[in-house]
Order: sequence, then C-alpha cells, then structure tokens
Amino acid sequence: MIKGVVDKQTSELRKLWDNKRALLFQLLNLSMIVFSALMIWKSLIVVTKSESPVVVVLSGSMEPAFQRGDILFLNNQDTPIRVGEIVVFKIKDRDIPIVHRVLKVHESPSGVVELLTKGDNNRIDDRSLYAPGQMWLRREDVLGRAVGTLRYIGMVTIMLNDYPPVKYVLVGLMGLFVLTNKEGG
Amino acid sequence: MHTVWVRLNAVVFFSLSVLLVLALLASITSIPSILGDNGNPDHPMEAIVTKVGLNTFRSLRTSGGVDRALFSIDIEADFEPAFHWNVKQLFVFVVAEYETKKNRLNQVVLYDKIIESTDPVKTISVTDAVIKYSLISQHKDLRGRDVELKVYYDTMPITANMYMTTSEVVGRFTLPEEYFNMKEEKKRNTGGGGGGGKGGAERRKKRKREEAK
Repeated sequence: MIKGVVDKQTSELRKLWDNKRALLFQLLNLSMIVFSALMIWKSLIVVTKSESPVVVVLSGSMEPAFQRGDILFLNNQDTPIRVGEIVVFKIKDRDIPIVHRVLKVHESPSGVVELLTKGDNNRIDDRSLYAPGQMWLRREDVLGRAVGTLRYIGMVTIMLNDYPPVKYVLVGLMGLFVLTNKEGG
Repeated sequence: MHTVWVRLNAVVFFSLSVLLVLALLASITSIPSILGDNGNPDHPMEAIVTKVGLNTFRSLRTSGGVDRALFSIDIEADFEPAFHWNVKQLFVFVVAEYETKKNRLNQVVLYDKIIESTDPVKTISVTDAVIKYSLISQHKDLRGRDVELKVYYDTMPITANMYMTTSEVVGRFTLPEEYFNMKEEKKRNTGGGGGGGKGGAERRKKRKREEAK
C-alpha cells in the first residue's frame, strides 16, 4: 500500500513539474495555508495582548489542575493581577515560561505590582526559580493569565520538540500532500 | 477517485471540528447564569473563619527585617453547592488583605486546599490548624495593622473558562503593637519551664524551614 502511495505521489509531482501553471497554483495554495495560520496567530496576539496567547504545559507542577501536555489559553489585558490567578511568566535569560499561581500581591499607590508565585503541586514558593537575587515578579514578567484549557492536545507539540526529526518528516509530508492534493485544483 | 489520504484528512478534520463544537457547547452550559442556582457564584457559601489565634509575631532579621506572623485558624466551609457536572476541581484559599503606607493593597494567601470532584467530602473543616503559609509582609509594617480575611475559590472546569469567586470579609483582626512569641509567653507563665511542648517544637521546625527559604 505504501509503495502504491509513493508511486502515486512521485507521478503526481512529475506531472506538476511538467505543468508549471499547476505547480504555481499549488505553491500559492501552500503559502496561503501557511499565511492564514500566521494571521490567526497574529490576530490572537492583538486580541489577547499577550505575546504568546497559547502555551503548552511542560511540567506537572500545577497538578491536578493542569497536566503535562495541556494547552492553556492566555489573556493579558491590563486589569490588575490578583491573588489566586494562574499566570504565565518568563524569567530573564530563561527561554521556557512557567505556569504558576499567584500567592502574594503587593500593589504600591502608583500601581506598581509585585507578585510571588507558587505551583499548586510544589511544596515551596518560586523564589528559587526566579533570577538570582530576584524577590518579586513584576507586571512585565507576566505573559498573561490562564483563562481556559484544552487537555492532551499539547502532547503533539511536546513530542515534536522532543524528537525534532519527527517534526521535519511531518511538516515535509504535509507540504507534499498539499502540493499534490487535487482538491480545488 | 479520492485517495486514502484525502479521506483520512477529511475524517480527522471533521472529528476535530465536532470536538471543538462540543467543547464550546459544554462551556456555554457552565456559564453561571445559565446554570442557575447550581454553581452560581452568588450561591450562599457558608465559609466561616473563626478564632484567629496568633502564635508568633516577629521581624525576620534574615530576610531584611520583614514582619512575619504565624496563626492558627478554624475554618468551616461547605463547597458542595459550587460543584456541577463541568467542574474538575475547586482551588479554595484564604487570603489576608491589608493596606500599608507603601502598598495600597497587600494580598497574602494563608491557607489553600484543592477539592477535586472525585473527593467524597467537599467540606473544609479544620480546627486550631497552623496556617499553611505564614503571613510574611513585604516590609517591616505589620505592627498594629488591621487585616481582613477573605475566602476565594477558583472553579476549574473540565472544558470551559475558569472563574474566580470571592466571599465577603469572613474575619477581621488587628495585629498587636508589640512583637509576640507564644513560647516565651508560656515560659514566663510557667516560670521558665520546658515551655512550648510538642506544638512549640513543631513551630520551631516550621520556622526553621521558613527561614531556610
């Protein structure tokens, strides 16, 4: 069966290569898919005011609320952050954002807010995770607060990141099938 | 005419969209106003925090002299009414709120508990329990301070938006003007005897842990 598919794909590709008009059309199709995905992502950024509106939970530190592989939707509106909210924050010089719950809020008269966080499943607060000497999180460290979740879907992302070859093979295959797909062509 | 791949593609995308619609419907059914009385945040939640007992109250030299107070509290609360079919868990927490010169709002969590929908008992009932997190302020500013206690709960659904519910003020107290140590107090009362006892030893251990942070 696989051989049949491979043969079919190569013959389709050869046909495409011969017919430059069709090739151009399919390439346009492909780029349209890529750009619509990009557009959706960018408009989400505009609506939520968060530089990363969807994140994947990578650790079990918030169990049983969130498990590894859950997807979180973030919102970063200017409303003040209060105790008990689940925020996603980034520590300077560290790539991976952390999802934890706010344990303490101190808000100065000018509105500057200082936060301390803790994972539901951790025994102690997050000071040891912060940058050396950092006692509090500021508003600008927060990427957004979690407003909703989808279970399990993030596992795909985790798998793709853990095994980069899978990512290239999958993306390559998808591109190929979009190119040779006759639907609408 | 259609290859296996086209069919597979169609099936996967159709089932994904069905799932998405179902998730949306589920989240609509759990909007509090649609649910009515069940799961309504206005539902009278009988959360009571009584008998706030101060154990120790001091300034922490190791952390730059910030004030710390340790309490024992009694909590009685029934969260059964807050559960409906789309609730995975409640995150219940007791917050101390106060105002200082440097901060217009201070919120410090003193106690928290996760109640999962699978838990048979959906009440919180603790008596004379040392709070989970001691009240450590940001500065040396807790003496004579008026503190309000509130109970919050974060409703975390299976699929829907999360939402937070706040109670009215459930407790109010004023911290003393002077630092205070239960152990020394006891020592004074018993004429310098062993003092403390088991509770004291536990508190000492706890304090050591706190300072280790």
